Amino acid sequence: MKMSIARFIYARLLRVLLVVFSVTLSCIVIVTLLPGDPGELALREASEAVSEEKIREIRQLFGLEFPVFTRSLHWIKNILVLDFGDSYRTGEPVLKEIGSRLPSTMKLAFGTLLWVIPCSLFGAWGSVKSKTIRRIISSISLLGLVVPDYILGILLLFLVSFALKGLEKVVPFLPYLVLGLPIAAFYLYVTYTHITQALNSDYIRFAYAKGLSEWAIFLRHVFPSILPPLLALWAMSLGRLLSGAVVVETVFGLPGLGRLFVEAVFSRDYPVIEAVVLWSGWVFALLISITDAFLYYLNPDLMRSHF
Amino acid sequence: MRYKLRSSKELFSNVQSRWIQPFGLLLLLLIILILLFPSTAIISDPYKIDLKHRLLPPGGEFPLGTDSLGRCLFSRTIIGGRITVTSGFFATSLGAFIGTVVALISLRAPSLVKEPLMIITDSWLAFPDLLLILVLTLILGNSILGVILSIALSVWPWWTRFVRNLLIVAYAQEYVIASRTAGISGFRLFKSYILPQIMPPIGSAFFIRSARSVVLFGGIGFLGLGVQPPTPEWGAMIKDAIPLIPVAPWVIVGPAIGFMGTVTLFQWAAISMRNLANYRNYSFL
Repeated sequence: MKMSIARFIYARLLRVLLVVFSVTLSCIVIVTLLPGDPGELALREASEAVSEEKIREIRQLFGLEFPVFTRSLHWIKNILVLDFGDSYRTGEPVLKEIGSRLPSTMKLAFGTLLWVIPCSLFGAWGSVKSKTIRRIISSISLLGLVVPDYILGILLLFLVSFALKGLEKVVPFLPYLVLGLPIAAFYLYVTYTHITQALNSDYIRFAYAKGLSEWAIFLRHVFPSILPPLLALWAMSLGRLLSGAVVVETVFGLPGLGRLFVEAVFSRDYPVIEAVVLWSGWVFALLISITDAFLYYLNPDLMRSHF
Repeated sequence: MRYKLRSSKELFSNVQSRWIQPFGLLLLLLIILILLFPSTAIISDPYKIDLKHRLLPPGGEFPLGTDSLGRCLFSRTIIGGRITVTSGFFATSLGAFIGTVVALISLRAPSLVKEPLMIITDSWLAFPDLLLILVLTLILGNSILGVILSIALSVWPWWTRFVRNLLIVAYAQEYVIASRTAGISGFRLFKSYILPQIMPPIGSAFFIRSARSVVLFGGIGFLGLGVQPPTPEWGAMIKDAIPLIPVAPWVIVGPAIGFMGTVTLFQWAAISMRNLANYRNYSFL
């Protein structure tokens, strides 16, 4: 048994490495396919008069005169020491650009999950227990499912700044609300399903028979049993949110990774695009793998199904 | 017992009460009809620029008012809706088709093909959809076809995972195994035993993913990276409306109601599709 557990962990580790490698490879394929000459574009953005000589110069500066394969190898070699090259647009190192945008994105991601996770947990428990709460909560979460984030963001922003005078203090919290509402609705749905399934089981009925209070049953019996699938869900959302909320950051003008990505797409700033796509893939793959391993730690019984 | 045992579909039960069901079906049919034959619903030329009639409030000749170039917003909403909604629909269909083909290959092929295929699928799932779509539109161009292809190419891994899991579960059912031992195989097994199991969740997922694709298509237009003007498209119309809201709040009404209505109807269709088969364990929205 011990031997096979070690082999199991090695297999998992190998798969993580393969996925990370494949993410990197996909990124390279995508970037190779990107059309146009970024050197010329960068030059055109800087000045009106563009000469052939200048273009050749700037191509040399960005290292664009080498064939694709050489460039890709060079790129892989550089990212191994976390050198993502220089942005075509600003000339700054890409790592520095991303580093300057990351705090905003992280604040948004963690702030959103901070209200979404407790709300969805207790909301689901409340709506299992009471029909009125279920009506109210499902109506609110339907709003999050149905209204696209860009419309919701704009409507709330204008509602607060024009219709409801004196509520300007709420504006800094709006991005968290708009980003979190669809996620909360989805969580609520999944949590509700898991709770109703858990309540059908015999041990919960026994807990009721023992005369435990509702709170004790939720915290000590229901919550631990529904935690593993929810943990995987939360990690997945965190992985998504850490790669930047493109739409919400654009609507509210936040200087996050998503905004950086849109700016880079507009000006064909390929090193920045590459780095953001790579970062989003890596973060997601690594977070999922870590959670996966953690789930096996929480419930070793899962491992038995693999042997 | 202290409480009734409830099923998960009750959570959104107020969406699909007896009153809404026929009403929703009628509305869905009406929208499809309007999208198929827009010329019957358009009252004036959506492309005609008329600076004398700029930013008119709703009423009279223009039911939803006019935009900053004096174009009829009602006609633009309908033409834009045709582009946005049908694009989302086609993108989802194409993505589902590619995903299903890959799922079938990954189930039947030898592990030398299967393992790399699943690793590629997993690695594509690791990228956020909007990021992937934006990069793909750079490659494929931001014409309508380019955006549809980009969305399809970014959603197929989800369908691969989804269909693959469904098929594995469906073939492992005991009555399927029993009928295989009884000698039923091939197409008959698939048609009579597998298809009834996998169709309701696939249909339900199709509507939910279509709603998502419509919103994504609009989102790209909203960022200014989608279909370029003068083609009307809901996302781009919303983007153009933002600076006008303090002066003329009606400019956002058409596309906003369009988005919400479409997504609501698709969600409703998905829920009723799932309830049709009473399929309960489907929790992955």
